[in-house]
Amino acid sequence: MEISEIDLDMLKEVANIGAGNAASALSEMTGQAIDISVPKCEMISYAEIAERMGGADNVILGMLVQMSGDIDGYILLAQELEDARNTLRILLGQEIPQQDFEVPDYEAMREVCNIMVSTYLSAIASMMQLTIMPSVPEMTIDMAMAIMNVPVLVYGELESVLFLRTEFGGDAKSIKGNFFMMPTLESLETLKKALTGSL
Amino acid sequence: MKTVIIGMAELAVVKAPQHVATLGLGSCIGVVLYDKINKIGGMVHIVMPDSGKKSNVIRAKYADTGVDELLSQMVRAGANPRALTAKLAGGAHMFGGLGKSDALKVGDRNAFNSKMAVLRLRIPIIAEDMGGSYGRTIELDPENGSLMVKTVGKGVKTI
Repeated sequence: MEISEIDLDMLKEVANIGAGNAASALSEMTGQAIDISVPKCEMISYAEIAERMGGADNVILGMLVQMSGDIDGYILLAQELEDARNTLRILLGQEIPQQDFEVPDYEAMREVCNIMVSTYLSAIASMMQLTIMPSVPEMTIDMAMAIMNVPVLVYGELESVLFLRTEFGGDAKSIKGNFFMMPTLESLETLKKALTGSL
Repeated sequence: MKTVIIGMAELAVVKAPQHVATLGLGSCIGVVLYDKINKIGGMVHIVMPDSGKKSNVIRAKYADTGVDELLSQMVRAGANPRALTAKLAGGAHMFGGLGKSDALKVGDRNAFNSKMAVLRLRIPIIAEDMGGSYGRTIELDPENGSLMVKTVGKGVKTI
């Protein structure tokens, strides 16, 4: 199966619906204006993944949620460690020392991830009249290439990877991060049908 | 001399003093073959367990084709197939806490199929560092065949 340009445009629309909602939820939670980029949706080669993530061995924070219900796949939130510390600073109102993350930090980040993913998905689900259930987020700090293992495996049968990315932030004081949606190839078909039906 | 760094679904063969490395193996496997007499080393970065016997695939991407391809390129570079030993690393289950996630569990199958592919070629596996739920960066020194395995927060070791 191949992913066409039309599919990529369609996915961009879907991401746009979700991202706007997630940004306003995060904005409400933190009392900060959160900017979001227009989602980008493209097929990229294995070699490009590393480049986009600041290098294959760049150490980043990854939070992963599995989608089930009408749509199967994953949502990944990826942040530079410095941006993750900044998110915590805004959220908890205290400085986070330049060292390893502690367990309470993980819990706070998990909450951010929970809120963003559930608002993102609920906007998409209600617009398209689908049921999409997010799992509890799983977090890890590791090399970018190991974290980006997820899209590589979801699209393992293709020779490139679907990269549906929305950037949050912009303002230096704001919360910065990358939000990736990765529906499985089967669920791509479901999304297509649902989007056509909802127009 | 500069280290040759290979990406996903790529392979390279080097001679001492040149090194070969790959960064951030997750569920992928780095298979390393080494000829200590000629000091020739090769590495392939395997992504998926099985090519499904399709033709026209990127051979280095799959366990069943990648190891064969590495061997033939080693031999072409002057390695003696009877002198070869193998080491393997990778095969993690990233985000292992998401228990029911089958798509991400490919690490185990990658590990199994890669080992089978090496053993089918009658090459002894002398060391491995596989499994867990963390990434690995590996670097081979063909001077002595040592394979350095680096992780985030779990230290560096040589196998």
